[in-house]
Amino acid sequence: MAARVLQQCVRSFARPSLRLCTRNVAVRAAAAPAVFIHRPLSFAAESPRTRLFGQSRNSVGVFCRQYGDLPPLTLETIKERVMYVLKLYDKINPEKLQTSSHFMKDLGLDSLDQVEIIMAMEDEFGFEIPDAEAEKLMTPEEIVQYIADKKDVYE
Amino acid sequence: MGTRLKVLNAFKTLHRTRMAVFKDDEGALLAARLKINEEFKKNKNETSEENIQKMIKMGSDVEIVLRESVVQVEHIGHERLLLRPRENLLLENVPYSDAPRKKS
Repeated sequence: MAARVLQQCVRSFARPSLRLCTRNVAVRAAAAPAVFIHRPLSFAAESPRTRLFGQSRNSVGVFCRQYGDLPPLTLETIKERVMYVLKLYDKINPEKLQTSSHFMKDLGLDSLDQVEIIMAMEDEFGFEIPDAEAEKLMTPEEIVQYIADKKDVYE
Repeated sequence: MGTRLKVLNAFKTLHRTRMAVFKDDEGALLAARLKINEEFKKNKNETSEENIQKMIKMGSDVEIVLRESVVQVEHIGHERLLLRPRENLLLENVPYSDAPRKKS
């Protein structure tokens, strides 16, 4: 239905808006992983398109729906955020910290500290981690893998 | 084992309640965090199952007291206080009844 309406607007508008409309449709039709690449295009396309639509709003109306969401997670960004939160924790020495450092064997923390670390991760990423799975996460690498699992981040 | 999981669970709920009760109050948050950690670490090497259960019960009682009886009040300017109640502390606006009706 949106395609038919867009065809109608294409006949009444100039060629530049046709490019913007079809690109926007392609963005919406693409699956989620592709959105990150197409998103800069749709941002660039947005302001001229809304200006063009705004000129004749009473005849055509707004029919492209926009959604808001956080920027998509990648393994790199997850790793950076996890390491940042760990460096802020006062019982960890930032120089000694690496992705493979074991909390108990390398960094000398105990299970209570590990619970605090997992709580900080829950606050940073905004979702609950059940206790049974939380007590198995003993290195930053494992935490990154777990979050990537839960948030469906592939690479 | 089960007890270990219960202890860690009690620790986590205490910290979560601490964060909710002392929200935005950095000094109180830090003091409460140090106190909770200190108390837990003091009894870290306890082996008697009965004592551990008692301590877990003590921890959950503290958590209930914090959640139900502690409210935050903020100083606003000179000689003015602002109460910041949490959602679960607000009661329904029913008139006080000395002898409440028994539910059948």
